[in-house]
Amino acid sequence: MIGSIFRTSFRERRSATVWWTLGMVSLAVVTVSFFPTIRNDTESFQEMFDSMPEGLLTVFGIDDSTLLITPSGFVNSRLYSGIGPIVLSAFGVGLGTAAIVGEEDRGTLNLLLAQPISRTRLVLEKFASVTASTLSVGGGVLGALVVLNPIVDLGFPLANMVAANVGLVLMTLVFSAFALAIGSLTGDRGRTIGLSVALVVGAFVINGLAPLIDSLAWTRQFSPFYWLQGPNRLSNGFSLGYSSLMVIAIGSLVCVAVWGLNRRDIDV
Amino acid sequence: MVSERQPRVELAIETKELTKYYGNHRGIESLSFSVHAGEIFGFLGPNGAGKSTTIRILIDLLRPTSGEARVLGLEPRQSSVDLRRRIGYLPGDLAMYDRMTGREVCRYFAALRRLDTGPEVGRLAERFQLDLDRPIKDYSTGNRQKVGLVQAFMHQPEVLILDEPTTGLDPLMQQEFYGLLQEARDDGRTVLLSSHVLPEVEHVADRVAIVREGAIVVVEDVETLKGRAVRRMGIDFARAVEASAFLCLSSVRSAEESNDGHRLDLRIEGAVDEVVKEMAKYEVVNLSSGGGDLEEVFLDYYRQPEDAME
Repeated sequence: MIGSIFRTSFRERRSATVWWTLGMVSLAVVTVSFFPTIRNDTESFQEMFDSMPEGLLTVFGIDDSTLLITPSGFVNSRLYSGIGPIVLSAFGVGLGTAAIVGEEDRGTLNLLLAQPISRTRLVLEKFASVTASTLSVGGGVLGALVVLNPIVDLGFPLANMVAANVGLVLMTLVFSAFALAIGSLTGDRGRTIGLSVALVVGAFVINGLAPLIDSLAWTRQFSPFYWLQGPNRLSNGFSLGYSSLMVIAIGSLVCVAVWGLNRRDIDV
Repeated sequence: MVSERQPRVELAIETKELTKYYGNHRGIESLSFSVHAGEIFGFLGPNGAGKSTTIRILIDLLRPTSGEARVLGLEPRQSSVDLRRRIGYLPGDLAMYDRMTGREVCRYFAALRRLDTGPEVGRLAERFQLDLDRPIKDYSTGNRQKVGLVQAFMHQPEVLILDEPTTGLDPLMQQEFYGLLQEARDDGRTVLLSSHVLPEVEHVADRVAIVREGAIVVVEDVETLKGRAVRRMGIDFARAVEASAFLCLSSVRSAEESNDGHRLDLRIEGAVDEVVKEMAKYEVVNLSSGGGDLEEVFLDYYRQPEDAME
């Protein structure tokens, strides 16, 4: 039945997905709950931020410290850059790795691919289940934000909160799709994790450090972390440009995965 | 399911000069053999001989370096999905979803085949005395293997490709499994059975191929091979007997006297009739017979260095 691989893979990771969702929801709650402290003493916080070196602020995802005292500036820099995206990139790499090369490493791919399914269908259904898990986590964060929005009086429009979490999901899927592609190409789980972690670190570094070096500032445009943080969807709403960029990146990587898995030997 | 619309092919499996290299490492080299539709074909060889490599090409898990393979007349890569619908496969290195139960694994694969195999799965589980409702991780090796067998047989495929299927099965379950194979053959289905233990293949196969270092050494009828089997027989006589009386028989390869001529140990190739008739001329106190299987023929093939073959 079409969808069986999707359903079974999703179900298999259900409890892990629940824990990741709870983790991200907690992070959202803790982050947002801190904002009233800043709002109640804007001046001393602004003073403190002003005294911090610009480089340090950039590394922490703060491009303009005057924005930090606004709800959207604060939440964007604390939840949609820094620790949040790092945690989700790990989640994404894990899912993307488990999908194909993880099954291959466990040995179960042998039996799965002895069933009458094409490798293309396998990759697509597997990635659909990765997407579903990621949507659960993104949905959890969105839910937390929607609940906290009136409580903490953040004043975010619903559309912007949705946009921010669509961005969060897309960014996570970029990392998943990368791991999926490397795993499908190589069949080597260690190499898949290694290269994916290298991508996460590289993306984090250029997003954090490139703006400090004028000649390299443009490289920031290549970091998926910037694709999430840069447009500040919480204040500016849906970013067609960066969202399309992420969709294209994900689509291309999934195509590479399909091509890669179709051309090689399984579980050598 | 044996489908009615498909034209019946005479050769269920055929390989021609099939070669697979993993980088510089040889998997198989110019391996050619064919399996007739409706037979049980034993694929015999030591570990690392290339049995699994060959099998995995037939399932389209591996792509050959050169040469040709056909299953039911179709090329495994081009007709990959269609073929696997008609094949039941048990991998040699069986791994399953640890957290799923045996029944869930079978249901999953049945859904991928778009079949309701529930009743057949139940029937097979009963035959194998397998409790399907425990998680795979709680199963013993033998029980995991049973789940593997159930999923291979559940859709009653035209071709069964089984890689070391009796691993971990106790003797009673092995018998049950042999029974299942014979029923499959009686239904007109084809079985490719790989093994590194001879008695198993000897027990059920119609023909056997012996694979060594990536190449086929011999393909033979099991009965013909059995004719070449060496049987050991030890006879204790009431009175001393001359070994020469037996040595002159055409089927006796060697005769060893012991216990002052009261005991003879014979190695017999082929029919034992002559020996029994000769023996009957004397008073026999005790008689023991061993071997009689293909072990020795088989070991000969295993041991033969490549240049001394043919």
